[in-house]
Amino acid sequence: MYSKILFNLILIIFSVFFQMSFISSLPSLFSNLNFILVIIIFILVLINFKVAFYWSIGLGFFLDIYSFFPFGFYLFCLLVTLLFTNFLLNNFFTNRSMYSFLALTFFSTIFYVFSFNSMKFFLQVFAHQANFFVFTKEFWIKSAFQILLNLVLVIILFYLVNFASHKLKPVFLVKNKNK
Amino acid sequence: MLKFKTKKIFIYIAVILLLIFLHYIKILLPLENMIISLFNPVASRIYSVGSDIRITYNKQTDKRDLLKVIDALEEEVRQLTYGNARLEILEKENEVLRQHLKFLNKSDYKYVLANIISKSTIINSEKGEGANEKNIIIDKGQKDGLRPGLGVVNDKGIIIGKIIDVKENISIVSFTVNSNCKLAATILNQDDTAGATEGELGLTIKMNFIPQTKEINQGDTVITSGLEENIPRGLVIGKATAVLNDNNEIWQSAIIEPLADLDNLFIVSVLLP
Repeated sequence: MYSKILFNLILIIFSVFFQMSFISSLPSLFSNLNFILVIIIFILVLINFKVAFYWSIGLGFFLDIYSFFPFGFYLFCLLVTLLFTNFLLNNFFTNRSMYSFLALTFFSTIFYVFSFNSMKFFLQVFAHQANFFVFTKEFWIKSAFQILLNLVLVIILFYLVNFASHKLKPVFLVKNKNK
Repeated sequence: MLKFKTKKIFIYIAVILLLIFLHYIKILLPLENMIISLFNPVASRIYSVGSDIRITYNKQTDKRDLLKVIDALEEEVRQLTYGNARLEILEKENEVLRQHLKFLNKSDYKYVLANIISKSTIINSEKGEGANEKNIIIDKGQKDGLRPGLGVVNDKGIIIGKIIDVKENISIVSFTVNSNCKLAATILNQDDTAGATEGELGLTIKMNFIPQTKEINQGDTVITSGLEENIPRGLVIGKATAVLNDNNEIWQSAIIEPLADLDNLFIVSVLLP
C-alpha cells in the first residue's frame, strides 16, 4: 500500500513539474497544453473518482506551493472541474469510447478555463483592477489552443492506453458477423 | 445513495479547506519550503530542456543563413550599445568626480544568480487586446535577500524586469514589457532626458512624461536613471524606435524596443541594493 502511495506521489510530482517547467517553456502555442487536466480526466474514467480526487489534491497542492495566487486557488479549480467532469461522466458520457473522452475533455477544459479565469477575476475585483476577461481576444485564442492541444493529447493517450489494456472501447463499433 | 455521495463531496471539500487553513497558520510552511528547495534544481533543468526545444523550434521556422547573420549583428549591436552606454555614463561621472575630487565605483553591483524554473503567460484584460504578458519564476526568494522592486538583468547586464512578489524560496519577475513593470529611465541624448517607462501589450515599452522641449531621436539608448530606490543607474533598457509627439499634450512619449531577448533566458541576476 505504501509503495502504491509513493508511486502515485512520484507521478504527481513529475506531472506538476512537467506542466510547470517543461510545458511552460515550450513555444507559446504549445505552452497552452493543460497536461494536468487531461491526466485527471483519464484517472477519473479509467480508475475512479476517489483516486482522481487524491490526484487533484496532490496536483493542486504542489501547484499552489509554486503559485503566487492565494493558496488553495488551484486546489479549488481542480476540485470543481473534477466534480463537473464526474457529473458529465455519470450522466452523459457513460461509455469509455474515444468520443466520450473527447467530449469530456472538451467540456472540462472549457469549465476549467472559465472557473480559473473567473476566480482570478474576483481576486482582481478585490484589488480594484478588474476587467472582464471574456471581452479579451487573447482569452479566446488561448482557450481555443488549450482545447485543441488537450484533445490531441487525449487522442494520443487513448490509443496508448487502449494498446496497453482493454479498459477502453474502440472508436467504431464492430458488427457481429455471425448475425 | 445521492445523500452518501453528497456527504463524500463535503468531506473532500473539508480536506481542501483544512489544507488551506494549515497553510495560512504556517504549519505547512516547513514542508512547502522543503519541497521547493528540494525540487528547484529539477524544475530549472526541466525548464532548460523545454527552452532548448523552444529555441530549436524558433530557429527552424526561419531561414537559417539569414538568422545567423541577424543573430551575429544583434549580438554585436547589443554589446556595442551596452558598451557605449557604459562609456557615456563613465565619461560623465568622471567629469563630476574630477570637479568634486571623489571617486565612486558604480559598476560593482551586488547580485544573486537565479535559474528560471517556470514561465507564465497572463492575460492582462485591463490593457485590452494584445495584452499578452509574461512572468517568470526564479529559484531565489526571501531567504536570499530578495524583495519586491529589485531589478533583474540578463548575462549582458541589460535589465529584463523587476521582482513583483517573493516567497521564501522563489520569486516572480515581471518583464519590462509588462504593464506592471515601471522603471525610472533616462534617454542618453544631449540633455539626459528623464522619464518613466512602462510595458505595452507584453511586446514593447513606452516611455512617458518626456517634456515636449526635449529632443529625442530614433536609436537613442534608454537606461535606468537610478532614481528608483532599488535599481541602480546605467542599466540598459532599450532603444527608442519611435517618438509620439502631440503639440496639444504636455508630455511626449517614446516607444522603446527592449534590447534583451526575453524568450531566450535561462539564468538571470537579481541586483541587490
